[in-house]
Amino acid sequence: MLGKRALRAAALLLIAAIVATAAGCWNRREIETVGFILAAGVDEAREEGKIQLTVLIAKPFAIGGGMETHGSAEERPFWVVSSTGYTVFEAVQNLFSQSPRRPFWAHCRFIVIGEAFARKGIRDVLDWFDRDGEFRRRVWIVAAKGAKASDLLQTEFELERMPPEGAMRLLQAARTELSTVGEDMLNDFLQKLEGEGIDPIATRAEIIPRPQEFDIRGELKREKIGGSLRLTGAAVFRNDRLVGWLNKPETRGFNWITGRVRSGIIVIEKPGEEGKFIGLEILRAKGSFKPEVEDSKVTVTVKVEAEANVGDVQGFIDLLRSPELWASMERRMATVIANEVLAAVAKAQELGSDIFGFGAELNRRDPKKWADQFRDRWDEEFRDIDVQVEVKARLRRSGLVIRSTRIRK
Amino acid sequence: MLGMLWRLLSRRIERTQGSAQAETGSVEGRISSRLPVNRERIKAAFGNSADLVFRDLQTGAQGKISALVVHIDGLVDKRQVAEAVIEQITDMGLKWDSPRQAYADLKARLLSASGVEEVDSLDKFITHVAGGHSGVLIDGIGKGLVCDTRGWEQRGIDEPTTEATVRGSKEGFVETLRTNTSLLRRRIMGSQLRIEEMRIGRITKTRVAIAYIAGVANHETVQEVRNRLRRIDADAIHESGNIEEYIEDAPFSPFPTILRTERPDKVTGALLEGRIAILTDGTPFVLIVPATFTMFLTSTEDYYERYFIGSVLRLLRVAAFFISLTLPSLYVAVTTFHQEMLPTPLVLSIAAQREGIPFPAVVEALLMEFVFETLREAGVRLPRVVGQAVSIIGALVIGDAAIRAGLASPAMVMVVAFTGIASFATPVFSLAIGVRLLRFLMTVLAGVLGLFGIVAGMFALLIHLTCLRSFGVPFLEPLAPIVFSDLKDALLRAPWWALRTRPQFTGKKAPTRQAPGLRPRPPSAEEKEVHHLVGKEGGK
Repeated sequence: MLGKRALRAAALLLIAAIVATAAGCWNRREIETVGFILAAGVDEAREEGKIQLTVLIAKPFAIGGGMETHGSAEERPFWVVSSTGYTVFEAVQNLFSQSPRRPFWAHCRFIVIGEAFARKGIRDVLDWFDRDGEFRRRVWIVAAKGAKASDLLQTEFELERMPPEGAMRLLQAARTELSTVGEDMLNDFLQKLEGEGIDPIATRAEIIPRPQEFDIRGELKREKIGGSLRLTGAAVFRNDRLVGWLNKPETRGFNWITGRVRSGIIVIEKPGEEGKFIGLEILRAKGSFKPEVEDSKVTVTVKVEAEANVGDVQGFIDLLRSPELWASMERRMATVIANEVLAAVAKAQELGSDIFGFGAELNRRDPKKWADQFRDRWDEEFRDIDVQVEVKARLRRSGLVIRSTRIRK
Repeated sequence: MLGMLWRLLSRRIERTQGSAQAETGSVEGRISSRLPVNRERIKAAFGNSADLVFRDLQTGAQGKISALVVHIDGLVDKRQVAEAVIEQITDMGLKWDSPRQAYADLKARLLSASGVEEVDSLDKFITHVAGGHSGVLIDGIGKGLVCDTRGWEQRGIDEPTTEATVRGSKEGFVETLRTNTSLLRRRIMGSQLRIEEMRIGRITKTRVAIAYIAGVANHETVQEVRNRLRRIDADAIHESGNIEEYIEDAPFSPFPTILRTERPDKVTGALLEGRIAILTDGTPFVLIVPATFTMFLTSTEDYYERYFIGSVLRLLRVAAFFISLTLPSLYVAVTTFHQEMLPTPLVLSIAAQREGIPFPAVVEALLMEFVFETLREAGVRLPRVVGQAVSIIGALVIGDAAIRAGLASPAMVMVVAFTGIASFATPVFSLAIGVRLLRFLMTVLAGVLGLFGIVAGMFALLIHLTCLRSFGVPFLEPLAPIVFSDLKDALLRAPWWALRTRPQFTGKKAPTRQAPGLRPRPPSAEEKEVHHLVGKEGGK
């Protein structure tokens, strides 16, 4: 006869076994059964009132890592597929009927919005991306200028097999090397949507057609690369509606004001010599602005401090012999920066969208005055703001040479 | 729960044990004064064993005195028996008139072996003979003499195979207890080294020695070791592993709470920390108690290499310990539950590798672990020549073929292989084995519950570890409970001149082990002055 103790021990063992085998598998999915979505796009569907969701799903077996795989170089390592629904979530669920692998969102890097759709407002679309647990808030919002998101997702790069990877690299380079791209992620976007006196921006992307007759040996043997993606500035939103675009210099103007310029090239005309240019490489930059109210008229003072190196020079230059040239170059650099800032402001005022957050800053500095005087009529007020620009431009070094090569005859 | 099962099991055994009371072979009574009686009793005690040698001698002035020399063939040095015992009795015996005189003479002067002892209990006499002594009995005397003529084949002192180091002593313990104690004595010349001996095992009568340093080791701990050893009432002690299981604090834990080593320098280091060593005849493995967790991740080399190298190596071993415990389970958890935690290129690469693999990742992991463990076990047991063949088959055939056959993914093979290597980085095999078992458990947990399972498993382990004691010392000391002064020699090793105090728990009887201020430094002004003067005087 088994004793009470033995029964108890047996029961414990049984419970342990049941717990171990039956408990889990909640949320469990083998990695090869998951469809990793790397980018998603939203457009209007053909049917009235529906949303078209386009996703780019990775095909891991076509990537071809270190070992022999089933894929070949010609095979696209991704699959672009669309589905529709009245809400994003419905469209996502409808994907299940097309994708044998369960869509998985945590690796999604981009939400692309087609221009036509974006002009009608995107808040209702962003809700699902915000609400769903798999999604990350560090997703870039990209607006496709003059294109549908589904088209943008079908572009490819010559040097990168996985387009979202390529786009990530482009974006990183554009942020850190050029500073000519709007860089709001989902998190910033949503915060700015909610904030007072500030409007969101998004990354502006365009499709550039590839030259078809391109016959250089060593080119990828894939059939055709229809188009490629290029990042060309920022998309301006008023609340959640797309209202216009900033081109690259304007975008850098925006980045000067908000202090996001990291590097980039400033081209100035060479002092004293028409038609020759000097390229300056931005080393460090600081930007800030300060709104002030005088007699209920708002003035914003933008302060930019920038340091640069001389990157390249056309024509002859001897910096030791002509110190006044140095000062003159700094002045021209300051002018370029000021122009970019003013261009950005002018465009924003024209579009009626306070992307810089002048209003928000005003609110922060003087909430009472903001509430009393400006909150309700900020849209009109913003268009009349007077913006002063103060630029401190410094040139630091001139590369490995002080004096250019002189051609003696 | 294990305990409960154990109690059930042991009750069964007790019930059936009555008949199992074996003949213990002990012989009652004193040595008789009649030689033939003694002879028969000895013969009976050994059951007429073939290697028992009796040498009957007639000696004395009239050749009237009968003597008997008993020894066991193979355990004694035959030349010594001949020269020191038999020759003495026959040559010098010519002037003896009575057995009494002969006995006194032999005891006092003649037997030229180094150790001569008088015994009067037959049991003791037989035990000595069984241990390699030569027994001398003289007709008419109710006592016997035993001479130390031990000399048997033994392995020479060799480099320890399981704990080889680059720097440090190359001597390892051998199977002979006396040689092992001598290895300790040679390292600790001070008379404070105490070696106590006892015999354990009803039939094997294995000699077991306790070594400690008087004035450093705690009396209570020494007494506790004595008590626990005396408690052992079993037929046999084959190896120190048996003793370990009889005296350890946590018999059901996967973690060993007694450290074993075959390095004399490791033992002396432990003795000087106030620990106690248990040496067993017949095995080169010496037990050290109390043992703490960090000792299992320590190699003697840490103390011989310069301290920061020793520290870095220790950290590496700690990392390897955790890797060998959790890497396969982490891999399983991340690839089947938490794909969002990996960078995109990596997740895609792993997904590409798993393409077409028929098993879930857990099964794949367990399978490959199983294959690896089998290979390792086979490699250990096989002769060296064949062992190489096995490892080639293992690496090439199993590893590569499994991938080609689509049974396992390269990443999994890599994970399992690295885990295997990491487990070899644990210096003490007994800990590595325990961790290996736990690794399977963790993998299953990860396959069922993901990271949550791993965390749950780690917590359970941590709680278990904090509950362990080894001869009164918390197993995780100095980490939990935290003992700041002992942290200097736990996960890191401070330089020697900073290791001033002994570990709190074992060495508080003699807290310091060196003078303060031993850190090397340039001489101060006064010292320079002194040297200067001395130099001058020396020159004169």
